[in-house]
Amino acid sequence: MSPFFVLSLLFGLIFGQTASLCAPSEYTIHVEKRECAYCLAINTTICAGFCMTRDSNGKKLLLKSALSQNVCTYKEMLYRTALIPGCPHHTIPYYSYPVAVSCKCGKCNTDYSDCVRERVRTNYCTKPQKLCNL
Amino acid sequence: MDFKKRQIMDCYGKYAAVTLTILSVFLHLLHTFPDGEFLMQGCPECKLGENRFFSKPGAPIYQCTGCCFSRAYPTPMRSKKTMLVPKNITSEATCCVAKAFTKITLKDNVKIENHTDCHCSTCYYHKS
Repeated sequence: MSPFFVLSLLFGLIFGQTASLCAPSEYTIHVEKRECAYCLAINTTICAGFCMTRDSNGKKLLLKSALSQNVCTYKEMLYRTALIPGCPHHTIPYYSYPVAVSCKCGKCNTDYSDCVRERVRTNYCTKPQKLCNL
Repeated sequence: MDFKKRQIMDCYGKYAAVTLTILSVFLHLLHTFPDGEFLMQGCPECKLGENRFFSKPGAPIYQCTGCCFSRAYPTPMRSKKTMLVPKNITSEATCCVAKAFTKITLKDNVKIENHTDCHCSTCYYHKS
């Protein structure tokens, strides 16, 4: 059998079976402060996608640690700082936000994450919008 | 000359075989998900599957297993202001859970659930 044939077959099988969709995704956050004249739109990277979970048939038979469910969350992140335009001198015009470097299907860390099912949409501008230039 | 022509034909033939193989594998994978589930390729949808540990011949027990959507993003400023303990990241998640089930009693009075319908809904065991 030709090595090209074998490699291409393996590539197709591997790619088809193990493609995980929890991955860094483009996202726009909107930042505005009451004292500042403008709303800043920042293009950043978040974690989004599908993770495998199951519901146990015997929840009362197992320890809570065995009933683990994984969700798409940050694996590695870095913080960037942006400048909100149109702020008066007495206001701190900087805003720091996390940027996803890599993602994973894992636990939601309550030390720094608000773990919810769905959040009411508050990511929008009420003031004139300016795009963040990094 | 004939030998060179044969070499060129062999080369083209190999490339054609590789291209056809890759195409047929992808087409097979596409047809495996008939309801437009291409987005969930490699991550099966949340649905009933037999739990072989509890199942007995003639008495299958079903369990909800599969993939659901979740995401983590920077907490919007407006939401942060309303938090008792402000958190930098918001995680919105759904998990594959039973939408409906029946209660079954096994030997030794052990009670379990036999799932009859599944959906992506609230996660209860995802926090650390």
